[in-house]
Amino acid sequence: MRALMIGIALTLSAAACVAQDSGAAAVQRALTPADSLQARLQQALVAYEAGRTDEAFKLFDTFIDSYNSGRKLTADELVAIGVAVKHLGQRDPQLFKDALRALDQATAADPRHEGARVELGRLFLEKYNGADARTAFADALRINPKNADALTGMAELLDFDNRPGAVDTARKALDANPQHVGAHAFLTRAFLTTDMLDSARVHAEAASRGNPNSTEALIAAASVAQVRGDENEVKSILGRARGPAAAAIATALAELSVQQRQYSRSVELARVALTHDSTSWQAWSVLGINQLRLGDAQAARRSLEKSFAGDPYNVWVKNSLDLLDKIDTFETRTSPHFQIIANPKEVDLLAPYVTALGEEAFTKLAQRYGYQPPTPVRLELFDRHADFSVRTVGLAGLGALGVSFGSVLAMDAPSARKPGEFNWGSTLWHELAHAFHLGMTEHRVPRWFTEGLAVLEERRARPGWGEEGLPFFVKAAREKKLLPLAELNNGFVRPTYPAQVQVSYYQASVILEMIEQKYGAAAIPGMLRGYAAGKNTDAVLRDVLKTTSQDIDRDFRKFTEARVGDLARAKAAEDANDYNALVAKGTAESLELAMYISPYDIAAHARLAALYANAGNKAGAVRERQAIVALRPVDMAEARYQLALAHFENGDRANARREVVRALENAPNFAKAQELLLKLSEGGQ
Amino acid sequence: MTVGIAGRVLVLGMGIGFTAIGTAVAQTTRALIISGVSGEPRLAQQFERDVATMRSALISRFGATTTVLTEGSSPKSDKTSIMSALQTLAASTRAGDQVLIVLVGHGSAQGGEARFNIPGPDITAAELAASLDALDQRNVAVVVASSSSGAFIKPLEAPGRTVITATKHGGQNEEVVFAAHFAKALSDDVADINKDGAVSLAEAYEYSKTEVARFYQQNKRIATESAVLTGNAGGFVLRAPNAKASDPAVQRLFAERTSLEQKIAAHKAKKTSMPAEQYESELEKLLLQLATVERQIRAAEQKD
Repeated sequence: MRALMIGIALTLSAAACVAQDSGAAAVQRALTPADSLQARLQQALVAYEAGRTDEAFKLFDTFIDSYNSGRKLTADELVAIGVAVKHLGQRDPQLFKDALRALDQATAADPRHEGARVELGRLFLEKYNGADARTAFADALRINPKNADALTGMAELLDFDNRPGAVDTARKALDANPQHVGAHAFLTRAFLTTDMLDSARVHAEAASRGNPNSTEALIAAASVAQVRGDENEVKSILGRARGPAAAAIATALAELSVQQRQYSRSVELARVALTHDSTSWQAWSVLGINQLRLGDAQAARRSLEKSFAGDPYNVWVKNSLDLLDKIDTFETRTSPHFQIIANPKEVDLLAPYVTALGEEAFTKLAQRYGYQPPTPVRLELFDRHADFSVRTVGLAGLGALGVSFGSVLAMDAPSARKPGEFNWGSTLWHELAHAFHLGMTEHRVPRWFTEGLAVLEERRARPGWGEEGLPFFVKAAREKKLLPLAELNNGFVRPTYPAQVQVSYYQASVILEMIEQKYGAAAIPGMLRGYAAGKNTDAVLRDVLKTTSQDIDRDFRKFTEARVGDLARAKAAEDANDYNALVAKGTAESLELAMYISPYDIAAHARLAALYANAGNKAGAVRERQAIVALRPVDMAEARYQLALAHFENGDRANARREVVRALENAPNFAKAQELLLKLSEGGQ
Repeated sequence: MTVGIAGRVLVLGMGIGFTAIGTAVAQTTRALIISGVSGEPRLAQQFERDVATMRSALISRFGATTTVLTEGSSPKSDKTSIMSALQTLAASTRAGDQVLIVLVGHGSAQGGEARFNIPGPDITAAELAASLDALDQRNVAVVVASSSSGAFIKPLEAPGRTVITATKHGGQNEEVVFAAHFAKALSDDVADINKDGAVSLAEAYEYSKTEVARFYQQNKRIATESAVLTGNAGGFVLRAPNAKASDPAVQRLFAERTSLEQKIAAHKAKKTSMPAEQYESELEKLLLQLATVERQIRAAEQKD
């Protein structure tokens, strides 16, 4: 049983935050008895940043003696002790509690000590406790609303909680202190997440001007270089740091790679981080989570176990390890291009449907794009939404139904949600489309494009699929809330109103639909090739379509007017996803569609089996009878007999025989099944 | 008298030739259905319907001699008639015979004593249990399809006796729907899960329990009843009488069938201790042999 430590958090960047105001100048500052603890702390931090970790930890260790000396300590001294002991927590997680104690005592000694509250906030945030971090930063801001450290901390917290307002809060920090390295570094990261490279570069340069050797400034600069594709610059920046600082930079780049959906690169960078500091538990965490995303469960488990041993506060690592335990109990079924992994209680029900739809999607997408992603495509179906959520940890702005890491797909099984809550068939098609687009572009395709294209592919697959976002889109259009193309990524990762993510998915799909209509069928594949070559959206629009994002926006406004008024489309969308109406309609087509919403109704399967049998669709009848057996009805003997009969009528005597024996195994006197067995053994038709 | 004794000996001789499952009925099945006070016309109709279905199935389908006592019958279902009917059952059955007693109506468990509402003074579970002592060595099953029937379990439980109640304790005192589903289980093939043409009380119970749960789910009501079974309901089997049971050729087929059924059961017991392919191959051979014998039995049964 893994026990998670909860309660406090600490960021590696805290060392940099303190160091940014110290650096070399502070080291040279004359030490006085009054500030000897602060001076010793800065000496330790400089050693830590420079990679002289033994020296640094020896100095950190002395702070415990200072605390235990029994003399009355000032608030400043207690803060210094708190920060020092926090670093010791990297080697002994129990010491984080001591750090918390020291900082609490600092606030008690001086209730108006802003620095103590900021350090408390940082400690809580690094140990994943958003609620207490918010309280600490808010307390600091009540004392001084212009405390740039607290404002930056609050921006980090809002980002951690995936709430709006993070960028604005960081800007307030810069209003208070235009040279604040932490705020500039945060904004660099924020703008890179939304592909606003120029804005990111401005803030990275500002961070460097503030303190060129601080870890935060180096992370900002390296991140911009990575997004620009300048590997030499990335290496050069990494070469300027040592030990934990170098590990922090490489880990930050690994996390950025995840946002860029470059999971293999993330794994490489996490490994680089660990060569600089094998006790970087965050690096182990990033390594493990991304090994899991790439389908290497064994390696992932080793990395995550290591991370958890060093940092038992990390709830995502714990959840990922628990998820691995869960996946170990799942079973696998295969089809020509897929590995289907699901809970044993429903894998035999879902696998035939996944196979039928997945193989159809694979064939059509391969034909359209002239490309096949690496196979087998691994599809994990989670019967608990909480398990699926763990798979998407750290990935902001995703729809909460499925995820693609390339050729590894994960999604909610239909049993994870109430019947009719989502269409798992269209979700499967959507995620498989991502596998194609990510693979074709080596994961360089921007968020808006790949999501929009995946929704468009859903619409091509079945009438009414891919239209769930239409009502939200119509409302947003009428309220003039649609984003220009240049800012569309924001709608996914930094939504400013509740439905903006759904609106952005749909809007992106309409933009691509419009592009295809106006520029022809070759336009989208051409754009994908442009992204594969490393071009950004402006360059792709210019080189492939000979247009600009402003022109696209103008054309889109006209296109939207027709879509907003398309009531028939809205009705079709509603009909395609109304499970009860589809079942009630009772045709083969409507029942088939209903199965991709919820496949758990035995009576519906029986009706569809009969319809298929009457229509001569013998393979379809077999699939439906298999589904009934997989649902384990009360009368299993009858279900297996019917399946045996369907196999027999489909010309598959071997499976017919196997199933009728299974029917008779628990009902040896079952007359109809006996006759079928005799017919099979007598060679009857 | 001598002829009667000889006749009885002859019947006994024929009985020895039959063996357990899959054979013609070696023992007799008798049933007593007791319907109590309804209290209102709607429930009177419901009780009448359920009782009629059960009676028809027991007589027509399973050849069971069935006595029915209701609030409207003559004699009615008062305590005196019930006791008399139970005594008749004891006198007309012998060791090994099956005796099914079904109560349909209202029950209560006030003051800690389980009662079944009948015309006149109610009959208590303790009184019912005492009267069942006379049915010693019979295979007795009591089905109490009433509210608060769970309170009947403890008083009625006894070694070798099956007790089925519509509710799990006396506190479940709302009107129940169990009887209707139990009646369907007897009258239809729906409960015959092992497809042997017979309905065991275990099968009838499982079917009824499932359908009761489905009723409350589909009607979006809180389930106010949950059935309970105690005893070896699998050993109480209602089977249609076989007209050819006395034919020596058919008897030989029955014996062969029973032997194969036993071999199949023994083979299944070894399932986890042999390779899957071998298990399935040998199972299939046995099943084919059984199928051949059963086909011959069906052919013989269809001959005039």
